Amino acid sequence: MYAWIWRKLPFGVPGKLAGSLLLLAGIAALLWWVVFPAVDPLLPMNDGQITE
Amino acid sequence: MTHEPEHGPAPHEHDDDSPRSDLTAMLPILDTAPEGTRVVPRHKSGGPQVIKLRPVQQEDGGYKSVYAELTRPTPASIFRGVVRGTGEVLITMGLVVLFFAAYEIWGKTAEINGHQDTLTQQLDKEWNQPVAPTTAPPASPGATPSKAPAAYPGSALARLYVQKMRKDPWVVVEGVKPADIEFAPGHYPQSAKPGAVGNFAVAGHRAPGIWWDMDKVGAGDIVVVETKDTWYVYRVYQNRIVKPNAIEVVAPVPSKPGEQPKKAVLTLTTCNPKLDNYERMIVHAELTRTQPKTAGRPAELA
Repeated sequence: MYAWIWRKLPFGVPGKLAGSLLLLAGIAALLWWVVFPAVDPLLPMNDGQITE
Repeated sequence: MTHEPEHGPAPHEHDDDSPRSDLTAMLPILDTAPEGTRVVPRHKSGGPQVIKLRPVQQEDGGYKSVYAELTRPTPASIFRGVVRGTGEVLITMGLVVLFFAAYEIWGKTAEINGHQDTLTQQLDKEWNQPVAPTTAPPASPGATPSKAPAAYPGSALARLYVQKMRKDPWVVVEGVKPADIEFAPGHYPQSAKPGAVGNFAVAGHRAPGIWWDMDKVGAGDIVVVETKDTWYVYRVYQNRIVKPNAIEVVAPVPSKPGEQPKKAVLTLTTCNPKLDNYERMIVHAELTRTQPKTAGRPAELA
């Protein structure tokens, strides 16, 4: 998977490095600001209240 | 100018140029390797040797790449590919879960603090407003003067100081639904108002940023509730762990549902253990004194 992505990234080694960093940053941002806040309320540890 | 050809560098230059270029020009490269296997050195010094990609004619008349034998998928190569791919996916999932753990600690705290700032501003604005509209018609002496215009779910209610956990206060909101208490402790709507006789019960997450350190709060610690015009100073008398359905802890008289309350108490509920929810941690505190906001900040607060 990673080897395939590396082969597909354009513009030689500098371009591949920049492309990988960009991809990594994009995925991290997507997880941190979109996916994790959406998933977080589903976790069991969020119920601090007492219920019947 | 005139001396130079006789001495120093001139003969060297001559030596460097002509014999070598002559040598390479004159010597033919001997190509004794059989068709399709000739190795072309990439550098004169050796190093990796690359076979030029090209088709090679087969005995049956067809063509095949020079690399065909090396690159053709075999059961072993497919197996290796599957193992490598699975490994990469599993490592990636592990990293994502680790990243999520980091979010739960740092990202969530930042988010909670951001929302708390917004709520603090909201509360300050509300408290600084003139009270005229709500307190203007106090004509009926029997009616309890309800200060706030019926707190709606999610609205800021009071400030809560538990300095054993954190120096700064939290803004308590109305309601204990998951949406209400996502970023702030929430007041059980059925329970008493701050300082009133009965049980002022508040639920909060066991999250860093909210009540992560609830286990450090014990008997004798001070909990202060700040409303629009009063400080309520409570003293903790119990910290205990109960089952998640133990609703009697938020009853007007804690653990004695149905009894008529005579004292003003405060109850904090949160998850136990940390990062799980099969128990609840409960802190009970009793009102020791009240102080009007005009008298300044209570001495109990650092």
